[in-house]
Amino acid sequence: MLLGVLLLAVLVSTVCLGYARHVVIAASNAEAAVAVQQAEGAADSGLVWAKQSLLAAGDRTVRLNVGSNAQVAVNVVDNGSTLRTLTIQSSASGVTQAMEGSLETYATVADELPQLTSSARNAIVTHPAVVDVVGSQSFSATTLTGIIYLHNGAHLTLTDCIVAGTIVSQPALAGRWSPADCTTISLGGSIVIESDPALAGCSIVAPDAAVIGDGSEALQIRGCIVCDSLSLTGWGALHGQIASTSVPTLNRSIDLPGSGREPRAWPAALATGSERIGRVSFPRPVATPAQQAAIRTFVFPPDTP
Amino acid sequence: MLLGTLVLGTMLVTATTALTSAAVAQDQLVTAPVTAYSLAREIHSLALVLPRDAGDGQPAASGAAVLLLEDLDGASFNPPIAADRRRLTYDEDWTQQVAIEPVELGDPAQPAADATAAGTLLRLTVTVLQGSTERGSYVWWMSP
Repeated sequence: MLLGVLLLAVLVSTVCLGYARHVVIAASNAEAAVAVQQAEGAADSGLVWAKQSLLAAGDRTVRLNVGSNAQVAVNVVDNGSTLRTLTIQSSASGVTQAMEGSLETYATVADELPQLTSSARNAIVTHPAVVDVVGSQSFSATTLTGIIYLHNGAHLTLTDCIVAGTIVSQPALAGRWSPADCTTISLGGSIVIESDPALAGCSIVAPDAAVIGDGSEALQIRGCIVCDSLSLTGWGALHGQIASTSVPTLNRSIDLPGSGREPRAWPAALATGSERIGRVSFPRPVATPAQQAAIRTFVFPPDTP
Repeated sequence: MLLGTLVLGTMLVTATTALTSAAVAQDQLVTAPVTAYSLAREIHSLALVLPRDAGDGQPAASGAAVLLLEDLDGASFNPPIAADRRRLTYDEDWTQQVAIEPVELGDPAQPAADATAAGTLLRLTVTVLQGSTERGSYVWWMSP
């Protein structure tokens, strides 16, 4: 009888100890599984940070806490004009994740309007054909060639005109302005605006300007437009990108050919300062022959009770 | 005979207590952390696909009412919800509490004034409760 009781006691003790061991191992596994997922989440946050930093022209290297128990280190290195190498290292509860990938980026507009590059500014200053617009000035049924330069506070009215050049404002050249310096561009009748070869692809570069159509405008604007506000109620086509401080108001009869499709490059005369990510790739790491040999010959340590 | 019965009875009581304790420990140490993180990830997966448009500023009362990202801010879901807004009725004891805050890109510990600026991140914090006990609080950054 006593022997039977002792045997049963051993059996029950074994079951209890076995189950307790299972609980301890499962708890350890669960802790590691959650830590791995938190480290993945931190790496995901690091990718978001890199994306926003490129957009905001911010820092390229950072180490930050994501919540209370996860960290991420991000490093973005230029690897060509539109190629960046991204390295992310994250950790949570002692578990680390590391990945290195390539980003294909394209120039875009974020909080700041595009600005003239220094070489473009020099080209304007030394341009041989500059039409100065001071105060209120109107042109009708004529062709303007070269740089149409709006001095601070100028009001330009174009009616049935061809601009075989680029309209540039003084604030665009200076890079700063006060409300009194702001310019306006009024458009009516048939209007064609191309771009000057010195500012190829730029039709209007006036970040201070209010560009307004009177409703009669029939437009063909070939290059990009940088302005404070844009309100066109006529018809026609804007072939280049638009960058404005406020949301443009465009009649639905105005076409935007090429807009909304794949990203288009901004003219070389303009620096946007911001980038968006077009493609991301994280190549699968390939073990070296030495690593493969080490994996094959690895001997697992004995299980410790 | 009496001694044997006494030993056997004591042993069975002890074994039952030990197994119950182990089962409770398993729930606390194994099931709870995994469930908590899984429920937080359901909210993160949902937040990634929600529009950033402005709404009425009020948190959603249920999963079905979540139409904008803004609806998640301040929301509390019990029973918890899945990424497809379904109610997870088999986890009735659990609660997801959600907070979304714009933070500075350069220092995500600092709140940002302009939630739409390029130099801003959105910080999604999901706190998961089992009953009234907090089982975990998890953070992700998202694009504004």
